[in-house]
Amino acid sequence: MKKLFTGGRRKVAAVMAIALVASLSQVTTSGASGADTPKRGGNITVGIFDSFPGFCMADNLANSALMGGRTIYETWVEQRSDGKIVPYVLKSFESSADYKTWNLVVRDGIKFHDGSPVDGTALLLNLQASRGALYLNGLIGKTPKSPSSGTGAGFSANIADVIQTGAMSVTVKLYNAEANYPDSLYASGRNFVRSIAQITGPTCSTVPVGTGAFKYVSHKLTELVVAKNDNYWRKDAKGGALPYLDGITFTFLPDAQPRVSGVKSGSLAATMFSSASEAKQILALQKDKKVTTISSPMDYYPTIWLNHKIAPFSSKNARLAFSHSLDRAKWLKVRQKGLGTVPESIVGPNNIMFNKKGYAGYDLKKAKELTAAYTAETGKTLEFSLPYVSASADSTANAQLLKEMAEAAGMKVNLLSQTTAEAIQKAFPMQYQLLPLLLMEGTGTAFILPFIVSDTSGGNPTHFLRGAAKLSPALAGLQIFYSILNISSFKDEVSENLLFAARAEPNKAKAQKLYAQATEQLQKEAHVANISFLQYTVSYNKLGGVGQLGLAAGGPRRLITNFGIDWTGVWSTK
Amino acid sequence: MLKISFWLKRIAQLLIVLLLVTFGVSLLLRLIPVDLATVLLPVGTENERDILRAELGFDKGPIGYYLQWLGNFVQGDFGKIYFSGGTEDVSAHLADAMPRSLLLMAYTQVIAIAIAVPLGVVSAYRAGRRADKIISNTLFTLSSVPNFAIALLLVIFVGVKFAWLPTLGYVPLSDGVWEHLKHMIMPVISLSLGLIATYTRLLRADMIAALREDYVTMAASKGLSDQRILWRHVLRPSSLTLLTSAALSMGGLIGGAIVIESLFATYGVGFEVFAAIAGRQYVALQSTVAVIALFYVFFNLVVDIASGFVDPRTRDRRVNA
Repeated sequence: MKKLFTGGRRKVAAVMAIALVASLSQVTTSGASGADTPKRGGNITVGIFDSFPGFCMADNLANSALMGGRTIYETWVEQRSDGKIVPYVLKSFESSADYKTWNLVVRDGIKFHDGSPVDGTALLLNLQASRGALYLNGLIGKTPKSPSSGTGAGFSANIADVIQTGAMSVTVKLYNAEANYPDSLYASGRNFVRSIAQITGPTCSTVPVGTGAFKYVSHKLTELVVAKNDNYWRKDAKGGALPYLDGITFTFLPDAQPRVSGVKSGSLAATMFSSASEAKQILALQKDKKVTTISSPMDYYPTIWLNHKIAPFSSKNARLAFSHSLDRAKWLKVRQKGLGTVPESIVGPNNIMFNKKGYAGYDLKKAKELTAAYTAETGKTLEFSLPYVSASADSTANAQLLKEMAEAAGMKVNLLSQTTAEAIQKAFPMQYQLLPLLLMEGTGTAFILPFIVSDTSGGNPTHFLRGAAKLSPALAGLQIFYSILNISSFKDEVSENLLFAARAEPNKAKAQKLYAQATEQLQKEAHVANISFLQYTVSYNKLGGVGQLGLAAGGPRRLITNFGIDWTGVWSTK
Repeated sequence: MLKISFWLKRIAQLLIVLLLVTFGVSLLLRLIPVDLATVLLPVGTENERDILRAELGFDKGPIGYYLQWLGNFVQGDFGKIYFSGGTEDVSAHLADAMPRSLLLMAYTQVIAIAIAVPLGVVSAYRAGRRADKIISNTLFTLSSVPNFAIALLLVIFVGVKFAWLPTLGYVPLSDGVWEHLKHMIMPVISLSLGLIATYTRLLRADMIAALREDYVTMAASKGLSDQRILWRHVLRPSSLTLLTSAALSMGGLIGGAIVIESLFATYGVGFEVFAAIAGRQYVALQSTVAVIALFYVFFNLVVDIASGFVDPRTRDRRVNA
């Protein structure tokens, strides 16, 4: 019996919690199991496949690098394994009856690594920085200011105002009702609690200061070193200090093979993989008895964004032809070695938006007919350029297979070599005809909705970025944040109204119905296409405690996500 | 006096080679049909890109840009690596990567030469006999196996199955000699096996030719032992080709061990080149290539000098030419 809690009732809760992990999150485990008695000390190395561009709001850490970042940072709220969002660094959150006002209260006694308190002011400034208000301050010569908002301005555009209401509390006023605003506050684990000094200082990108179990030691693009935070606010089940490990080095290993051999030989204590291109390695490690491999659900939904502003995907015929040309079963077999399932919707079956209706699945005959219909409509061949990262063998192989599928339906495809940085730059705002990019994820809609609506502010006429245009015409460009996340650049009033209505609906069943209708509309119009769903795995060797430490508010956290595992309660058994 | 002017001339030639190589790389980069400032600062503002263009000389012609880069390079400013969170100095990357590559190269060369020389001597001495055939066939087999395949086999058996050695990473000498060596053994073996085969075959061929020289017959007729003839009178003049080959492979080992560096995550200069190409960090690429060229030229100069000591006739021939 793993010691999650103490006491009789808590033991029952622990059993139920473990059952929940197994039943709801569909996490799978294989291989050796870790010891149950925590052991303190030790430094370990973890292999990851993403690098560390920085730590400020705009430096979006990707998946496995996010795992490193989350040892330093925590989030205001956390997601339980059943998907529910619960307070974490926050003590509580509650809404008004109309779900337009949310009162957030910070947990007492937490300090940042620099010794400053986590209080209402820190919460206020974090929220203001995230929504771009501090960035605007910098542009108009006001303080406090921050160097950048990143894409947080788009994600948080439904926030009409943020007011500090007490030493430890803040009120968030929304323009459109959000029955599950904490889901947006979580932002799929990316909305970090940063110190005021970091947010407003010149080292925002280079020196991360959070509240997490580990403190920043050093980093470069290919490595992050963190050390135990001796003043960490959480304790283990017996009241002992956390974390158990002295330090972790996250090292960037872009090739899968060194990660595989590293974890098998013990050179790495753990390593992470993505089924996007490493299915072969995942399958091999799942069979390895020396190593434990845990896998996330297939809750990550890569999308092929189709630019509605330019030909050919301004045409519905072209979009449908492309979506019908995608042989998802073949992709699953060839590119993912059978790991996963064939998509039947633009989101996975665990997502509240999942709906098979209207989905343009593989149908070569239809694809050919629609390609011909496009030519009849425009007098032109259905032709487009497909960007891919030539430095990556996987990206190249993916592009070639996509090209083969589209050309089988009579389309002409030109492959366009890009770097990842170029692809990101040209995606926001979208300059390609189409772009495969993984953005949407999860069981809720906080990390989906901003990508499929035309204005994340919901048309709020008094939103501060619209107001900025009145201060200076040069600031009018900031309004791009409202739509920048909608890479396909489409506006569909039917789906948009359904999505906003669903987000405001507190009754889950009713909300699910509205979301499903929105998905059907999006799929009928083929606003976006997709070809696969993804999962992430972590393989570890001689580690204990993985997934055993629950959340501060009780209940188990998700065992593994796209940002790997939580390292707070993990120990080395070496 | 004559010798000094010869060496000055030789150094001048090598400097010209360096200038041509770096200018060629610089020109090639400028011919790429992209705005380099946009590539380096994809999420920057146009104003930030203008500043960068002026800073790096992208707003100048190819020669102006090259001269600016060269001026910075000779002062130790190798440029920067640009990413969303800021920049990192290329010189800091190279300062980290270069010792790894140099040590990897040095160990590889020492091991390869230490094994190839006795094997080459025995093989030449026993030319056509059983020992020669065994050595030649074994080395032929080894040279036909790519170094990454050897590396993978080592990782599977030595690293994973028996767990004798760590499969990943680099530990500096300052963190302990044994820890350092443990991390270097497999990469060094992977790189040196192919070189052992090459060096042995080169030495064997040269020694067989030297053994047919009149002075060897004379030495034998004077009653000198085979050992003395082989090691003292034949090996030295026969090692020039080996020395030249070793010098040429040094450049390759510094910048070209990318596969081995990736497999063992030792991340030397080869990885820096790969990362610069993959991330289109053009300034970093240019400076890294220049540093590799610098070392390449330096090692060739060292071999020129060394070959004069090994066989004074070559030095005299060159000086009097």
